[in-house]
Amino acid sequence: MLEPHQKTALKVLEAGHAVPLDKESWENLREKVGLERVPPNASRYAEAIEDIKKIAKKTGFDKLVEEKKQKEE
Amino acid sequence: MTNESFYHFLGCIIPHRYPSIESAVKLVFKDLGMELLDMDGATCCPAPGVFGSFDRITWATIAARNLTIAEAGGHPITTGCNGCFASLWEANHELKHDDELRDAVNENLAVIDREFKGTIEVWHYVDALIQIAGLDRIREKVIRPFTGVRMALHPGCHWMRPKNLKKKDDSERPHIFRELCETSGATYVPYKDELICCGAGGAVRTADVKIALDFTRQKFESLKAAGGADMMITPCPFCELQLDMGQVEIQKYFEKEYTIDILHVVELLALAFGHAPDEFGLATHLQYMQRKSTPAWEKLGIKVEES
Repeated sequence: MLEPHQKTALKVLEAGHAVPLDKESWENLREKVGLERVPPNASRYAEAIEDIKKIAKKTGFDKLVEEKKQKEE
Repeated sequence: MTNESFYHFLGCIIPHRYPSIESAVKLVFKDLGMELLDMDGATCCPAPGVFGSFDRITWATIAARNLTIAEAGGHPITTGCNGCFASLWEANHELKHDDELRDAVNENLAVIDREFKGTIEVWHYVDALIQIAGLDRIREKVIRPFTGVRMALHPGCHWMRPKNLKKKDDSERPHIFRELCETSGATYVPYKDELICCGAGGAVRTADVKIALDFTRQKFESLKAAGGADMMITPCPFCELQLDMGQVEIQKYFEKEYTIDILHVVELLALAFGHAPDEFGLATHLQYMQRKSTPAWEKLGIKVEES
């Protein structure tokens, strides 16, 4: 797994999204276009991220993402 | 008057990088009598290039989790991203037809007290617009036609491909997306590489942005050879990001300048339906933010007040 792909996968496990709402400037942008600052996805609902973590643990995907990192170290 | 409700699957790029698309689709769907419902707790679709490539079961399980949110509410899903459409539609299709996969996924979903039942459908915005609202209804709503504006299309990869699975339009000679975009009144400009990938998806942009930008550059050169266009329309926010912000990146990596406005099809329709650009934030596209520029209002035939 290429490191950038591993990082994208990790982003999903950490934030629930491959491209997360990770800066205040993105929230400001939403407000600028007339939307609520935080959308009703995993950005707002932390329990959704917990669900993703549980799934990744069950399928072993969390290990898949970790192993490559250990091999490269 | 149509009356259909959809769970609105936002994905990642629309809500977090190109929210003007989210704002525009709300205007367009409301104008057409279609309801968009919040899909609380939806996550990444998950990214089909990265997840689909590395672990099919994890990909299908995370996709199925999203599908179960809509199943619980009893409404179909609609999404404006080709990548999200690929994950959700294909997972939904595979899970309905592959008992072994379905059993494996449901075993995983059990740890979060969910179960995939296969009771809803997944629609791209384009499908909902054409099949539910209908082209005639859309044409009736156009009060600001893009007369004389040259329009190139970038349909992207996943809405109609793979052909044997999606079974809609003709992936070699497509016309449905063109017909939808032509309701705006703009003039269609064909170009040789209209159907090639923008370069972003399939985990390519993630792996190597320069390789991804090479695809984008080829597309722009092909359009230039065809005489150019005033705007390019796409049904995918990842394509929009690649084609839009990609112009800034191509300038940085290849020292080649392209300047063209890239719009999602719902942004095109919002304008054609008479909405002002700042009602949904067209000028917030990343290309304009980074270049400190604005859309080419005159080329687009749009009058805006100087601020």
